[in-house]
Amino acid sequence: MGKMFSWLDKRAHEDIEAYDRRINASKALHGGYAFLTWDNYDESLGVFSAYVVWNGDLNRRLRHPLPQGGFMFSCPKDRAAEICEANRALPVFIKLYSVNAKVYAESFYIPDEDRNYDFYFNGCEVHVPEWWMVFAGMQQPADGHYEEEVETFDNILPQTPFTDAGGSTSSYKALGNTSCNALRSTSYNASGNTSYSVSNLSSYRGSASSYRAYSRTSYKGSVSSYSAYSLSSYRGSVSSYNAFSHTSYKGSGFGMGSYNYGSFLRSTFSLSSYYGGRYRFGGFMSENSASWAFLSGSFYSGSYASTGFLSGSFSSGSYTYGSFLFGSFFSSSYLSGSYLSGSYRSANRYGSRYLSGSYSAEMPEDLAIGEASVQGTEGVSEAYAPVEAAEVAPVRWIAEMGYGIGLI
Amino acid sequence: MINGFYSMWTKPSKVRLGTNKKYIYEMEDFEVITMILSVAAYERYNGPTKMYADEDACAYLDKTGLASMFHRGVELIGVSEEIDPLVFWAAGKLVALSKEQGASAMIDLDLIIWKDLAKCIGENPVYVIHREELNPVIYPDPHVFECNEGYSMPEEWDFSVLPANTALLYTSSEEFRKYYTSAALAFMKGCAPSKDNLNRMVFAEQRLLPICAKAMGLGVGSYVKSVSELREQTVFTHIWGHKDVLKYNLQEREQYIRRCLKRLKYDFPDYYVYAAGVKELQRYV
Repeated sequence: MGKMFSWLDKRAHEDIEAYDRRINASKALHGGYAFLTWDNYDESLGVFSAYVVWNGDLNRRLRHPLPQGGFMFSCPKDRAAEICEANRALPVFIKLYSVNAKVYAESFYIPDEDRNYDFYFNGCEVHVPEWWMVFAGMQQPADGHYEEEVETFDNILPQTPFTDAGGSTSSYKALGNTSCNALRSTSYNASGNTSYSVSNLSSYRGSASSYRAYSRTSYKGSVSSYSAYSLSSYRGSVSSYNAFSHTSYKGSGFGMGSYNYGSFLRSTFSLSSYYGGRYRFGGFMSENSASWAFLSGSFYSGSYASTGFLSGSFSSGSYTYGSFLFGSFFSSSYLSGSYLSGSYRSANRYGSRYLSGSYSAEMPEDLAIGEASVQGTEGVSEAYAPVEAAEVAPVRWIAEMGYGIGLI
Repeated sequence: MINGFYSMWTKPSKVRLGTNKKYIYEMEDFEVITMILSVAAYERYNGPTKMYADEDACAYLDKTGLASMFHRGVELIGVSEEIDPLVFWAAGKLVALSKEQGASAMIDLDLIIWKDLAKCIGENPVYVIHREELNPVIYPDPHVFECNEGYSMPEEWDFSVLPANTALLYTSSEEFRKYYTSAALAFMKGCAPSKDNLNRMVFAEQRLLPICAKAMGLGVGSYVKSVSELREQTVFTHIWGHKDVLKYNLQEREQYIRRCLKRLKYDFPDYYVYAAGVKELQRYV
């Protein structure tokens, strides 16, 4: 996944009509994957509503970027059960068309064995699948659909991935091609340690009254194995909260469980899978270490040693950390390392100098930690970072808001 | 007869696009056909309409020949630079409303009114299509809005009144119109910079309306109390969220546009010619 659909760009000397003709004559392309679960299958109607993760930068090139939810197709019950049992995704193909050099999705279909399902948008409701399924669908292909993408993905993994951001205050590229999209579109503006403004993927504003964050992170560490995405939205601290978080954790040698947790977020939608014990994901307040993790924060906290992955923030005992957005870090005593596009603030040692990105800290131990981590990092394609996931649930509601359509 | 008016303020979409690309405002095919049908139906059942539009929108209306469809004409509007177009993306509506005189109805571009409004409105000086529930996620306590120095909300404002949806807003009170639009625009200018593109906008548009009405001792009439009651009625077509389906489902879009064209052709032939002349609709005509 993660394809760059550069052929959809208008060529330098191509006029609009020629561009339209070229796009309109193009074959259907593989636009993404539909993730299917039994709770999204309506037995009475024999239809699936699908959660779709669109491929690479396709969406950016469309006049109307496609949503993750709201799509449906008919499927016989027996086959639906087989698909669900296999825990895999089905590819979605899109026929594009262009009018005045604006590209639209004309039609969709899902090939499956000897048939093509007509796939269409009607604003139907979809339950977001557990994230482990998204990974399973990607990493454990049952039918080879993903081989090409995996190969492509391997090719773009960073060979010398570690970039010393050195406390850079601007956005930068730390992890090579696999994560640069995320990082490029991230900006950080610290003003008195209280104001963040991160465009596109993330935004954080204010420290007391309002906070908005969207983050997408994937991390595969060296100590244990994580593959995680998070989408988080948090707004307001007193009067209103609106938080969505999706977290996935895939351990090495650990079993996976899942739970939903939202203790002090008034409105929390949390989908998390985790390895139990002291690894926790989600918004919570830990009793042991007086730590707070907001949104899709995850951390291991024991005494003062903490390991935080994904976008989280917490305050731990004597040491106060604030990791926002793509924050991930490993902290052992005073030694800290921030991997991926993590940002954190350590009251005692490092102040607020480390903003977004991995860094090489002053001590050799930190560098080692950083390198080890980054080498183990598996940046998962943007295509699988479901940017709009938090907005899936209301799709049906929104689509149904029109009224009196039949009067026309 | 009740005068009607629409508004088009393109700056929000222009700003969203950024400055790297040349911006030429164009409506989607389903948007333009809905607008034509809306104007046709309103002028048939209620009265002449007017369009308040900014420069880019005026250029589009001129180019497509749609400007002459509005029998009260097209008037150029400008929105203060002090108002953030991304936060207050519907400020153009309020500016348009402030320019109106006499009894008139403000109509969203995706709303079609199929019957005589006067029978619904009765003697109400302020009338909307429906009220909204005071959902704190959408309508938080306005005191959380950071404001610039010098701006404060009047003490007489009652924040407990239910918001009003202004897809349709009728008012016959000049004083109310001035008070409401002044209050809304002052709030927009007085708001501190923000990334919020929902709460502040709906406060200015939907919440201040009944708040201002109450402050003036006026009631706000509505066609129905809640949006759920609109499913069983024959006065309004509001495309609203159905636009998502029209965006992503080409088959639905084609059916919708062809149905609109058919309705225009047989019931509003004078307006069908406008649709026939629009480039975006050529493939359906």
